[in-house]
Amino acid sequence: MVKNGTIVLLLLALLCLPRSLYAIDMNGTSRTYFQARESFDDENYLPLFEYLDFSLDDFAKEEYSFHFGGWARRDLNNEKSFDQRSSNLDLQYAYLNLHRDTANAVVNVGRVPVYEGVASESVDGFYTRSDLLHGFGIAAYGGIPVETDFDQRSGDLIYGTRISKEEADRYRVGISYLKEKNDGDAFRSEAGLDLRVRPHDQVELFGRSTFNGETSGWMEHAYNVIYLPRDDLRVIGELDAVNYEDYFGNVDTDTTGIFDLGIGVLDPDEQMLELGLRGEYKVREDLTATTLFRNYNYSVADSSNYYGAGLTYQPTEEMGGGCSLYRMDGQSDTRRYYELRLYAYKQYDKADVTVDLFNVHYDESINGESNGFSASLAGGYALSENGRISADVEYAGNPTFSTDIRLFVKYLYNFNISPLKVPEMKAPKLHLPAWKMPTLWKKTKTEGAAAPLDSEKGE
Amino acid sequence: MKQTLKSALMILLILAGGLYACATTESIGRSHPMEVPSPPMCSDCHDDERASLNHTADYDQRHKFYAVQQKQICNLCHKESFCTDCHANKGEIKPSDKFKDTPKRFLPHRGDYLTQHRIDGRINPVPCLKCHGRNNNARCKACHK
Repeated sequence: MVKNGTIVLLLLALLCLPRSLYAIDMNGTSRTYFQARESFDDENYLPLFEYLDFSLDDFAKEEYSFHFGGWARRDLNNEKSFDQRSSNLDLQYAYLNLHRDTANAVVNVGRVPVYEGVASESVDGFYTRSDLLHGFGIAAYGGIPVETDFDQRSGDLIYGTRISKEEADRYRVGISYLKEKNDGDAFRSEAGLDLRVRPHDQVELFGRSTFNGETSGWMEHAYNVIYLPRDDLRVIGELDAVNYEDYFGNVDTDTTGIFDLGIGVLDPDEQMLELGLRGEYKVREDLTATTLFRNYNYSVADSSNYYGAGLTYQPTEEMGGGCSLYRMDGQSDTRRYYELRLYAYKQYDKADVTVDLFNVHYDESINGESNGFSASLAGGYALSENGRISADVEYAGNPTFSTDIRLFVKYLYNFNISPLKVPEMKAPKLHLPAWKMPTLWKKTKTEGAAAPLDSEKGE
Repeated sequence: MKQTLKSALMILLILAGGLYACATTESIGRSHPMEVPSPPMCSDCHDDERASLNHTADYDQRHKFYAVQQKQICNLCHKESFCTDCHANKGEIKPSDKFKDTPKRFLPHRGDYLTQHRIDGRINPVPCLKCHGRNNNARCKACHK
């Protein structure tokens, strides 16, 4: 069993090794969060979080890299702000990566994220994939599943594979399989088909179907079709068909209890068919309108609708705003509400301000209250090219609990350490300041950059 | 039966190994070779299937379909920590609480969701299980044991 503490110690040991042994590029982000809030029973919580992620590139050889992400919390006033604990930590991912120059061959070993077909998992083990001949590809993974609250990991196992076939710019199709065991007992078995077809420049169909091997039934068929009749107009059709008996069939004591079909909240005989239509229209360069309509049709319950529209306005890169209004029209007054949002942001040189307002108005009041609202004001300041400090205050209230005020302060620092090899690491040029989305952009290397992609429109 | 399965697996592995050895496709790079705006409109440069990766307003709702087919495309621009902002195992901070200063980014459960989730969970509980089934469920289990 791999313990979080062991991995942290190994990583620290790794970082303490003389860097002369490697020509390593190290870059990452440190995000320190401080939160001040009240609990439901009026206890004051002051948790301090540290989120750290980094990558070691060109680790020993150019094909190798190491990736780490994790966080830790400590309550400054020794209260137990979450999960009955005054401190906590989590290793989100930590893996050695081998990335070959041909065949898109990848091997990840450690605590690895896996996104392949039916799998969207975190695994203590391995993940590998490769292109094969004639447009075929194969991926495989295996190890111990990473879950929030597992009873014991001995006997837990997850493994799976995905085989794909593609013809670039025409279609991509994959067949995938996943098997999970809990304490040695078969727990989860899923197979799936994922599909993406582009018959025309203006039309794209994509989606997936998932089959539950334990209940021998189709869990879900989820598909979208995009139609682009003009450059300024996008139309998206949605279909999502779910069998509750099969979709919620894999439940055990580690699963959140509300999903257990046996407790009477979710009806195992229920089948849901969601049909939706979304539109996005660019009114002009700085103004975009969106609209959405979804119908939920059930075999047991009455149908519901969800619909609304929004506008986003961005006259310059440094400022913008948006508004939206949606209506949930459920089966009864207790399941109906209006949802309103207004936001605006502006950057002033190194400083920025954001205002965000939410209000949900319930048709039927709850505890005598009809509205759940949230108003936040955020401000930030770039202390340096790599460091930024920001804070936000939120005033919120809802029908379930009284109003409260929350404070959130964060300090973000991007670092890049290359003691021996000093490539010209350029921060990506962003239309928003780099610190706005610190985890979004990876640095673009000028050395060893990938060859320009084909099919680029040249000037 | 087990022996048959083992043999089949070995044959499959050898076959796959052989086919891999013959594959000569050039790998997608580790990072995007050009600077791109945020959010990126891939169709600004690409007129093939990559044009469909435009990060339009609805991209958050369809990104899953692309990620489970070609995660390496996402990796061109996104570090893994970007995904774990939402796809967490033990998340104690609601994603939107960490990014009040980034209102354009789609993040689940902005605003008060405690009351609202009772309705949304009845209308469509499917997306709830994906994130809060066996992962990221400590807060849920406080009430839904």
